[in-house]
Amino acid sequence: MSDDFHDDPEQMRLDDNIVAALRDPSPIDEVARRRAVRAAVATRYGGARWMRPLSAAAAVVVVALAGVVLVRGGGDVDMVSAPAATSRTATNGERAVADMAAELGPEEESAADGGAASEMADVELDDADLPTDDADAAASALMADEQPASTAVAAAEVPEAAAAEPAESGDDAPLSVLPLVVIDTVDDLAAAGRAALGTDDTVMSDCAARGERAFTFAIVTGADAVLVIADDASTVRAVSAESCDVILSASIAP
Amino acid sequence: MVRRRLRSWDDPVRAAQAGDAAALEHVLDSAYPRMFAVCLRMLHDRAEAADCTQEAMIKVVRGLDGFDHRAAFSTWCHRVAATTALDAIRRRSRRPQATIVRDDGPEPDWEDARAAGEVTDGVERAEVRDRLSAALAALPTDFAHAVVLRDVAELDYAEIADALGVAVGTVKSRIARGRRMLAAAFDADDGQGGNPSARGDVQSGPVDMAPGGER
Repeated sequence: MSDDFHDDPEQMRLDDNIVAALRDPSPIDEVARRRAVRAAVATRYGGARWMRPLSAAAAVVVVALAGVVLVRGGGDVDMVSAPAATSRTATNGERAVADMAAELGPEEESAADGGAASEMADVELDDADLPTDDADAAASALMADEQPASTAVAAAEVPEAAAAEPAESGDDAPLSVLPLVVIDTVDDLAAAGRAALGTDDTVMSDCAARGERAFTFAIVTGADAVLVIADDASTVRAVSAESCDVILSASIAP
Repeated sequence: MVRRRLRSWDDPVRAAQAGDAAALEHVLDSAYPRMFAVCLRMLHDRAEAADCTQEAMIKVVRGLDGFDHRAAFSTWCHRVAATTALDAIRRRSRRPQATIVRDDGPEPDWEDARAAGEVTDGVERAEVRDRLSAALAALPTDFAHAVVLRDVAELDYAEIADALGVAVGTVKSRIARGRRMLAAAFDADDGQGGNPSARGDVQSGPVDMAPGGER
């Protein structure tokens, strides 16, 4: 028998029951299913109620923020993972952060990033003065300067691959520089939410612990947008599903 | 939401393109299970697959106006899901690796279920799915992706070649060998040692597991 025969997929088919099992993803998480459908429908009809109170620019910042926020809490958190993307913008942010993280390595990653958030903090930074490997020092300098006590925003150069990626629509403004907000407290999280939205509206924040997992979340009232930061994606979903239709989320790998 | 199985995609898709939000929601909801299956079989992680499916659905919606009905809408959705999953895998490979926890829920105790006389068709199907998932996850990635893109996403050979960046001949080879390995692994796990899971001339004996390698 020839190798050609063995390499012919038409001659080598799986049993129908096996194919059916492969195509059956049961059990399906109905919350995730509804979330995905709503997010997609909201994308189609831009008048989704959570988008209305936000300007397009603020939405970009919020989504980017949600994609790359790092929480520096009680544990040794030094990794970022942002599995949920509710818009193309968030995905671009994730990619660029991943690229940057790969370049920097885990040690530097928690301190280097940055830029779109510099808008929200009204910080002028000269990227040329901030080589990537000095971003940690830049963050420290900023913290000592005009920033709130424990919220630091730093800028770093964007990797070429991320910078070269075109935006897909007018609303998805290219994230030429990416944000990193290091947040130590719940109050800082609320402050970051207010700054990101460019509003003085009340930002409710809370912090709680369920079991061994601590999580922090902020609810921006009046916008139906929720920024959730937690140490795993499941917690993000569990909290977010209770709170809003469209979820901006970031999770921190343990 | 009451779900009705779509008999035809064409009318609701055209209605969605014309601006019918309810039709769009219905179409997307109907497309979700298979799109999720594609992502799950590629990523082997339910949480990541759910996120990937959501991202794929947003892409589908953004491209909806450009869908020209030359291909089946479901096929197009599967293709978008597959390419989104491949993108996720590439991003994952560039990202510093955290421990990936397979979110498949608690391990069912099949023996206890049998002893208690609780074996039902549903349980048996779930058992088959679990064993199949394990067998698929154990395959060399290149072979597993080719099989999933063909048998779950139902892409044609040229589409798979384009998605994976390899020649059509390589795709065919990977699919054939991947199916053979999957069937063998599935049957071995079942303790049958035979070949009830595949149709065709399955070579007995060890299978070369090197991706793309020649026997």
